[in-house]
Amino acid sequence: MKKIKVSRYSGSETAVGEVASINGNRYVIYVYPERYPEISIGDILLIDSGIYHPIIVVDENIHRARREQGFTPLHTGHDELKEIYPDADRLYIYAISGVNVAYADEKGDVKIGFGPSPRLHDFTYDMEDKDKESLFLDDEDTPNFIIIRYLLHGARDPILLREFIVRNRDVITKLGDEKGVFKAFFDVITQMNLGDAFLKTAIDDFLSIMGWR
Amino acid sequence: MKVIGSILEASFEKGIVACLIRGEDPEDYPIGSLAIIDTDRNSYLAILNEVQYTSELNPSILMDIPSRFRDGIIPLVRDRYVNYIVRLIPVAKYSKEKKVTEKPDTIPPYGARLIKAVPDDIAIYYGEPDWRKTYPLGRPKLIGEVGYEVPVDIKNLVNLNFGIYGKSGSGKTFIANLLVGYGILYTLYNRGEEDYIDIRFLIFDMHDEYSLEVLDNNRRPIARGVANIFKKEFVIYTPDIENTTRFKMRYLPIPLYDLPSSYLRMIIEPLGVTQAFLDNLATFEKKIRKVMERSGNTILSDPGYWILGLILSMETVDKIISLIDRRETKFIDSDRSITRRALFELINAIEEEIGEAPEALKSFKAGRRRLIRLLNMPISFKKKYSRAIDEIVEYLINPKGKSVVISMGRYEKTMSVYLALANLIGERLRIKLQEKIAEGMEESPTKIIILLEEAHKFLERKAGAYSPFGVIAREMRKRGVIIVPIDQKPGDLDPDVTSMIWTNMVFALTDPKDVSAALTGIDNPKLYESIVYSLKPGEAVIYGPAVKFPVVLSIEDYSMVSREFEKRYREYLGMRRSRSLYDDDLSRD
Repeated sequence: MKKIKVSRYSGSETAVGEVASINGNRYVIYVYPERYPEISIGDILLIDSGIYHPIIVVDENIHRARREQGFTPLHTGHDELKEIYPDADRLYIYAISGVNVAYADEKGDVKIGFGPSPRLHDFTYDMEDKDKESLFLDDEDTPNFIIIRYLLHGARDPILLREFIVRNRDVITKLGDEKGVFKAFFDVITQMNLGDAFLKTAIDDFLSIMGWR
Repeated sequence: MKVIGSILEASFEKGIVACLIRGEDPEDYPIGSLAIIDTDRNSYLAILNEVQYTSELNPSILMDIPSRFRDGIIPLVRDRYVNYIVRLIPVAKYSKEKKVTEKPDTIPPYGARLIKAVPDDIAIYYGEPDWRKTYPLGRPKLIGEVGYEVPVDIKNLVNLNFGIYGKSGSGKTFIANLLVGYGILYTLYNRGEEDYIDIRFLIFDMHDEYSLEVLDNNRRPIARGVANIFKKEFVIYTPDIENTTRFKMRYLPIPLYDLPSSYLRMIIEPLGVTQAFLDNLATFEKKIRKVMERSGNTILSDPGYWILGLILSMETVDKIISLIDRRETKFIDSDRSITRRALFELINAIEEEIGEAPEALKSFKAGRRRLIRLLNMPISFKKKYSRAIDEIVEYLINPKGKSVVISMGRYEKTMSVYLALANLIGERLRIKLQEKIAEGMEESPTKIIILLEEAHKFLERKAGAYSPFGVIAREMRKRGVIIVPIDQKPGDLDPDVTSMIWTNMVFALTDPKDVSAALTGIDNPKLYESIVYSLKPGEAVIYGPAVKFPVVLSIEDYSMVSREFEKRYREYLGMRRSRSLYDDDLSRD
């Protein structure tokens, strides 16, 4: 099994945000406003929680006003507003929620599954592509998509799956020959009792996004 | 004990359904294979009659995937989402407590283990051939196993009528030769023992495959026919005069001298004569005999030649003279014109006699034209051939007699000759037996087994059709005579006859009517239909008292067994010679 270098994910400088709340296997991360545009649904993030490093897939973006009176349209647009009020971002919440799909231990060994929960304010990092590969490989380094079972554990959402594949296409491409990769995907997706329509869509999306149609 | 599946459903009517365990390959499960169902109390022997699979995965999902990917995932789908279902027919049960085999009267419980049958398991049910009373009939299909031979119990086989069915080239003649050989060995080996049965075969050998050589489907000889091996146990007759010298067979033409009209009727019926002609035949006989008796004709005054008078006409005189000339010289005067004149006179006299009833004369003339075909058949008016039929019957009935083969030679495709000879012999045999019964005979001293190829020609459904074999099949079984229909159209056989056939050997058939008829008498025949349709040449469903339980067999290779026959017969003859020498020595002492 490939290891990841967990020491790479430490300190505030490279963090994209902090853990704001935990609800079962879904975590809410408050994202630093300047990093917010970098994060999309389907992205994989790693949380530095001391010994363990929970890994999540972003399934929701949340951006709203902080104050109770809420949001008032000002007819200025975001950029003009920032010129007038440079600290305007402080009035807003930039957050994402993510589904816990894996964790890395202190040695950097990646395990697919629910790990120990993070703590509030733990730094959260955008995972590097070379480290993401380990999420799609089994102990023998053959392609394995069991991560999808955890991703869709709560919500059987074909769009989330599609976005996940889109955001990780480059990583998946590097896993090995296309037949082996597809077989691994098919293996997992057909075991999830998703229903024929979902299954058809998922397979079709996968092949299309990967350019293997 | 290799567990290959679990029982999911069972009923007497519909059979048993089992699911194979993952990893089993359906190609290891040919239809007709035997398997064992094991429970804590019993084990059941079952025949596999259906293999199917269902996939939990919607096939359209798979078909939408590009083929280059599909090929790679098929094994995964097969292993994970496909359930292999086998259907089985329970044919026997072995009680572990009582240690007996019997017809199943219970069904195995849900989840009972389906296990691969090995020869030792199967032998519990069918026994082993001992080459004395039981002989190897064939090898059952086992899942991945070979090497066990299911025995046929000869005594049980010949005690009741049995039948061999299958389309052309399916193996009927091979098995018939095999069974005849076993019957002969049984007779030789068991003579003098308690319950001994003195078996005699009467074989109507259409293609000389009992008397000369057994042929494969390409008409190439593969082995000597059974009568050609056990030569001293058979007398071979033939209507083909060339074969009498070539193969030392006895000549048996259709004997027309003094043949009563009741017999002639059976010969000419297939020639297409009208019913009116047949109805008047006895009258014609009477009148022609009368004419011949009073004619004072030096050539044809013997009323025993009345059939010659029946077929003579102005148009056929010359043909008859030339044909008769070659075969019979008795009534041909050295001066042909004298013969010719005498025949013309005879024709006129006969027509005059019959013409007393104008309608009868019309029917007579119409029928006579049809009878010209008789002249192309191997007929004879010599008295000695009339006695040949009695001689055949005597061979069959007399404890010192032999089995008889009627080898058709070049008449193999002339059905009318075959029907004529078979019906004549059958009728004479029937009458002889009835005479003996009237004299107080309970049962024939010999067990006479009549092998009847194209049996539907003799035992057809047609209402009112008379056939001596029909009577024999229905009435003579208890008197020691049994009929063995060998037929590719069992559906055309009289149901009264098929219902009396106990052991059935069913090779491949395709017509549902034939399949249904061939499976009359087996429990749940519908369950066996798929098996019969799938049989390969040389494979047969066997059921009835000759095998303990129904089974699908790949019948023994006759060419191999024939060599065993030759070896055993040589040994037997050698033993008999030395025994008789020893007896001679003793007597000299």
